Amino acid sequence: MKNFDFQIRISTVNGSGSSTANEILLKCFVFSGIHAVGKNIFPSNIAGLPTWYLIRVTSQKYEGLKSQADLLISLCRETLEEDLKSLNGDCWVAKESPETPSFLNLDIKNQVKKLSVPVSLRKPLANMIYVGAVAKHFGLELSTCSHVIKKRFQGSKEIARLNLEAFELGYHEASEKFKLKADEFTSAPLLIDGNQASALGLLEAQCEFAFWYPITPSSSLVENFEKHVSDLKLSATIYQAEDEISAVGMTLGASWAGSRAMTATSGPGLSLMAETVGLAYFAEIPLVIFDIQRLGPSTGLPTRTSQGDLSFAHSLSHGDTLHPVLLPSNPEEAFQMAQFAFEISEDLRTAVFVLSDLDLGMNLKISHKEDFQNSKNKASKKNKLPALQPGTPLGGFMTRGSGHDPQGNYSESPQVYKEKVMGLKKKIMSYNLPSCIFKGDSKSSKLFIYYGSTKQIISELQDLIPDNVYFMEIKALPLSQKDINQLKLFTDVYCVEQNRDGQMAQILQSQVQVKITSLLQFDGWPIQADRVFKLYNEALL
Amino acid sequence: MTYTKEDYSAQTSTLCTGCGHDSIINHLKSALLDTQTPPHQIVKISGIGCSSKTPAYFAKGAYGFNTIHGRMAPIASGVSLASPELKIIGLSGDGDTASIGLGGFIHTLRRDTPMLYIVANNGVYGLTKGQFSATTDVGVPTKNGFKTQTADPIDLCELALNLNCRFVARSFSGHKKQLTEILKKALAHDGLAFIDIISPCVAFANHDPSTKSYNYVKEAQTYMNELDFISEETKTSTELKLKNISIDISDSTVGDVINHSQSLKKQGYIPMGFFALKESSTKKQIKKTKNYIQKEAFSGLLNKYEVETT
Ligand SMILES: Cc1ncc(C[n+]2csc(CCOP(=O)(O)OP(=O)(O)O)c2C)c(N)n1
Ligand code: SF4
Ligand SMILES: [Mg+2]
Repeated sequence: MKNFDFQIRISTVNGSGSSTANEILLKCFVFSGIHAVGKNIFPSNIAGLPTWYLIRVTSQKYEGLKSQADLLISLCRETLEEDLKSLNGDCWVAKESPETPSFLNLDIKNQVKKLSVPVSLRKPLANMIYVGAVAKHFGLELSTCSHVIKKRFQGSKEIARLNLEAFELGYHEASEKFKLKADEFTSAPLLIDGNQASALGLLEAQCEFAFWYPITPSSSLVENFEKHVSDLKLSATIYQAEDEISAVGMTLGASWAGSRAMTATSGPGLSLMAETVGLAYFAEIPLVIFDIQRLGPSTGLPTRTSQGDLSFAHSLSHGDTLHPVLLPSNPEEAFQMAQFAFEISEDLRTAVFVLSDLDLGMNLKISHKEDFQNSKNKASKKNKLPALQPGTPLGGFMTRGSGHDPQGNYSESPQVYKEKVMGLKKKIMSYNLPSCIFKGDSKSSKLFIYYGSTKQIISELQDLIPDNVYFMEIKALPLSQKDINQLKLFTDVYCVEQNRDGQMAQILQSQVQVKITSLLQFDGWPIQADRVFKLYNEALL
Repeated sequence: MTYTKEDYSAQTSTLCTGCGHDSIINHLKSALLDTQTPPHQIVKISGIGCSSKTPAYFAKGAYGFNTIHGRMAPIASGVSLASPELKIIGLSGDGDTASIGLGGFIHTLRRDTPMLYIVANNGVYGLTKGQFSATTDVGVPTKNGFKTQTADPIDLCELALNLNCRFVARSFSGHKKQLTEILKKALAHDGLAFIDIISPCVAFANHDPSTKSYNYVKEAQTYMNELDFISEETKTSTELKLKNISIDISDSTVGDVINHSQSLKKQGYIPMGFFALKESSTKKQIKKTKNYIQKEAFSGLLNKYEVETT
């Protein structure tokens, strides 16, 4: 099969070991040379709630999901009805009941009994049965899959053997319905998520301190960094603070003293950090914050994705503020921007945000090793220490968050204050932040704006939209005057983003007189091109 | 090179004439002069409040950081990790530490961040004009008389003791001799040295029923100093007499410091002096690092890292 587009929806209950199995399935596709994306939709709970894994395989190499599934593997009775609604094809149910149609019968429950293993192992191994069946269904080679499985369980031969056995049960039970055409590798694929990539970026940037407070979906960023630091016996310090106020305070203290330090958090933590960010801004101290966005105000939906912190982060803290915000759109950029963030914040002596999200941060994506290596020259090396570091003889100074003149002396003078805040704005506005990327048909009057993880749907959206359009990918805020001028040339402007109010559109409209139509998906599911296309069509009416 | 009085001076204070905080700074200057602490190796760090304005008033050659309300402790923790060679002097108020910054204070005690941590305790929010703090004693009214404190106060020294802080002391801004000695000892301490200094606010808490007024403190302060260590001699008896208070020391061993502040407080005294003073620690401070040892890690790392090829 040369042209294909299949989405597999696996619904299970969390804590059942399905995430390992699902990751193996994703890898079976990828290492068979088939382009695949996998998205984990999980609950905020440790065990017993519905969880989904979606894999989409396309000959077009699309990066995002679509709204309908072509194959459903249901191991969760509770969500079956809902799952069937989004199904356009076959369904395999593990637990049959009279009222559920069983299009394909995969009797996982009885199959797993064939394995001579303790009952406790049946549950996780049952997952491998459907993995095997799906692999066969799409015509994947057994040898590639068994290589993936052996590699995954390389620590224990016995576990690898059992998993392989379960996999083969499913593999032999199912029949090959499709034979997907595989690609030749030009370079070995690397599956990596944004948080892992940022952790590598921290290493590359020689980050010395990470202060943090656990919060999904940012925890794995620091935990990955900590693991590398310990494996490689580096001397960086990773410290779990008592709360985000202290985490950002400690980061600021270490930065003030001249070290490279960072903190990572998500929405609720960001709220707590607001006051300290204002201090960094006004007292001109470098500060690097990663915000891996999750959904909603308050606790919201902590395990769902969002781009809802954009305006908040951009102007975090009271008073007149403005912070550079970097917007990585894939793991490679999550890696690079981790490094740029230090460079920018040290150059400007100000707070800088790296705004990622759960979808980018926690879902594996196909990348290539080379994307993480050639940064040596571009990468910021720690060479821009503050001119004067505490401890330098004859150089005492006072840093303060209250009004001060350029020498740091306390001042309540209206003139001094005005010059200060205007200067702060100017230094940020005149800095060369990563500029926008434009692509598509530049003669078109239609402009589509997007940023961050929304990029994953753009190539598909381009295929869906019949008109010629031009695309503008925003890499950082604030925009340069050059990019703003580009924007001014268009009359029919759309902005695709993952929040309720079109925050990017609002920010842009505050700078340019242009009408922007927002196309918004903000329900916590990874953004989907077909849904955005539908919104576009509705907007045209 | 010898540092002179001039080296520990700085701009003139803008606090109210007679404010206890100014006296504290004067005694701190003496302690720094006596110990010849190099000014450029001093980090003066504070939160927000009248007490937190004081970094500007001493050691002009030092590095000062006047931060935000309640966050001196965590920010100082970060500075300390990044620059462990520096002498950190944290200056805070009772509002700054016992209310808004209590969490950070407690956890900084747990970390045993090497620093001198001063609370200039006036039992009131000075800078915001006289509201209660968490150290205002029960029964004390605000100066305008609108309200009387009903909630139990937080005793920061006891809190520090509970968290096994190795250096805990209380003193009075008006007691030059005792305070200077305590400050000198604190500057030599290798972990967190906590000092709660009663520091009257002449503008809002020097009225009669205030337990942090000059008059009250002069009458009620009780020095614990030497008496508070269990020496070979004192250990021979099981009871210690302090003024008219008897303290049971049957469970104590030589070298212990007796915490009899509860019994003293019950009788209306303000216990002062050392509550705890242990030089060596078994406590582990957070690992401090300065230099990132650059290894050619990266290509090696990706191999270690999950790369799967068919
Ligand atoms: C987040 C925040 N809340 C409130 C304030 C207002 N404020 C400034 S100083 C202060 C209390 C200071 O009391 P204390 O720490 O005891 O210092 P003092 O002035 O008594 O020396 C308050 C509430 C502030 N600056 N920041
Ligand atoms: S208001 Fe009170 S604490 Fe503030 S300077 Fe005046 S006397 Fe000192
Ligand atoms: Mg006070």
